[in-house]
Amino acid sequence: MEAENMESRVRHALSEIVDPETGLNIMRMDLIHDLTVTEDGEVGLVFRPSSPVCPMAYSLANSIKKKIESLKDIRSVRIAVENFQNADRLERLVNQ
Amino acid sequence: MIISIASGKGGTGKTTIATSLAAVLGSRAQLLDCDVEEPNCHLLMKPDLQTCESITVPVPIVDMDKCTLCEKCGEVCRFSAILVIGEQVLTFPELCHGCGGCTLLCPEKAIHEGSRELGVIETGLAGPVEFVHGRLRIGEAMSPPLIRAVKQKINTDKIAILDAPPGASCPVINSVTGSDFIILVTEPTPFGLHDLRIAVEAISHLAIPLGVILNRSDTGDREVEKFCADQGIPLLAKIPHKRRIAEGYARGDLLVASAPHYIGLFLELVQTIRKLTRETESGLKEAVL
Amino acid sequence: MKELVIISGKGGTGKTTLTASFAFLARDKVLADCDVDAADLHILADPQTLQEEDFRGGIKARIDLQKCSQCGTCIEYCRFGATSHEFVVSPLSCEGCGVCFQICPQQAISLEEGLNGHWFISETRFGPMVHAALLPGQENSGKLVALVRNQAKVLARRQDISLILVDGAPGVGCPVISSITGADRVLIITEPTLSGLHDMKRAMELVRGFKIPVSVVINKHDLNTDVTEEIEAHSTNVQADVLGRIPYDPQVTRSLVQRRCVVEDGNSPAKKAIQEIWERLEPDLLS
Repeated sequence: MEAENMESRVRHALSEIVDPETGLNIMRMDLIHDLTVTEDGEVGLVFRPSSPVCPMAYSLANSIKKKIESLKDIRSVRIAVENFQNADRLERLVNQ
Repeated sequence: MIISIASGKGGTGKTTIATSLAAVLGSRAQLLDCDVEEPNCHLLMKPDLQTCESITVPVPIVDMDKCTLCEKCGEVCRFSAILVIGEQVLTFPELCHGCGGCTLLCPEKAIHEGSRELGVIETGLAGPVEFVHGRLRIGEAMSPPLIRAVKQKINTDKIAILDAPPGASCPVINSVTGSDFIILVTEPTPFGLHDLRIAVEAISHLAIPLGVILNRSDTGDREVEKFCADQGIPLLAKIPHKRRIAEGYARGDLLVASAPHYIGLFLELVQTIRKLTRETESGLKEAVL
Repeated sequence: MKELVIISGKGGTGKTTLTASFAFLARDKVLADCDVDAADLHILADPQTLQEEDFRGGIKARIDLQKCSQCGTCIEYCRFGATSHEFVVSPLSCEGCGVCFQICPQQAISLEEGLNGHWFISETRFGPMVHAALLPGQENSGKLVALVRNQAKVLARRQDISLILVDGAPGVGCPVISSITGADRVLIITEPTLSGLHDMKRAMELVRGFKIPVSVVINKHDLNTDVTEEIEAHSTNVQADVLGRIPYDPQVTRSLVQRRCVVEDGNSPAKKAIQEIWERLEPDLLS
């Protein structure tokens, strides 16, 4: 119950993040997959940038991390990156 | 006088018209190819190019010894071109517009400017015609800054003929702004009409007199002619489709070389444009008075 | 899901005609018209709009003359010459960088988002289509293109459609780059003219820079056999596969005037050539 409540808060927060390229929020753009939120407030998600070479992916990943971390009761965020040319590098940077 | 040749739809014959107009005017003309993404005028004019200038835009370089990761740069940048992520500052030169904001506002003065090449401008002579073109570096997204740099070479002692890119958005507006007259080239098809309407609307805000040349005029339908008549847009010329001319163009021959009987048309065109430009000027003066 | 993007380098070589023809021949597909500057695909596809939304892609600065002290700091620091000596910002020149907004001592400058265009999700006689129209004269920074492509993918996923056909823009700049990044295949349609060859080479360089497989089609090939062969030789040299040649065929224009694709009616030379090209292309796109 608690986890469900937290998950819906995380989803809502994610839908407030707007991709500066398109002006649409990242949930509407289908960029976030496999969202998991545990009762302890540990969040995991997969971020699939809109293109494999999109340089905005770094800025968006950063915004995602900061936004979720700012939520009450959230202890940690782990972002996996897929379909991106430098996925390893971006994952490393954003999860630091 | 500055005459721009534009179109909504691509491939209607802008370069065909621009190059023949310049060739017919000879030493009176300067031809500036503003279609910096795909410049074609040089293929028909075959200029002897004499100068080549690299055009760049400034981009940020961060000195990590001075950087305190305060994130001011990332906050200021509206193009996501500089960003603090983790313990690093990443820059994305390809997104940078060269506004200088991050460099100016970094509290530690940790940023200085390098450069990114937009493309090159080449100048020369095609017989007696002065020739200028810009060529965008492949991979460079932004054409307007290079187009503006090409236009800085306009020689006001000549009749400057500007070959604009296709479309009706920012690159085209950047090309045709400041012209005395705009020729819109189109074809008599639904695509040609649809894109002509868009181009006319885009240009109407600039209050520059315009006229239409209808290329391949004996194909398609009569809707473009009707549109011009309804809107009071002068139809400056109709050029029928001729296989011989198309084949000449394919080989890189000027229209007036494949079909010399068109030389008169281009000379008349200049007179018509002068007349229409004078009429607009006096019309504007009357409106002001 | 596979995405095929059709570009040309040079304008007017037949992108939209070919995209529409493929749309007619393909079974299940989502169409995306990414030539947002001069969108023409709808003329053949005949869309019924299901959804229309505003697109606000750009920011412009505006000076409040009541607060302005005319110190000139904004003029001094604007790298784009966007502010006049009467302290009016030119929307054409303003790039929305926000420097003037940041440094104005009177905080007299605001940054405003304007309406740049509209985008649509429609049902057409070929299937669903995502398309857009920039307002005339607006910036075509590729953002609207990115939006159209993204929403085409979202729609395809939702409706379980495995092919997206994208009608690209002419040139090699921002809208084209936004059209091709991440595509599964790019098809360059060109014509056998010196301009067509020159522009195709530049478009090819752009696509290969992104390491995307590329195919070539030569339209109106019978205009010039020598240049046709040069185009094919260049393509082979850069490992682009030549899918075929389409002959010059007045039926294309006759069909277009009727708002139809040449592959819909009769048995013209262009129709046969396009059908053959599609037959060569389809297996790769459906695998």
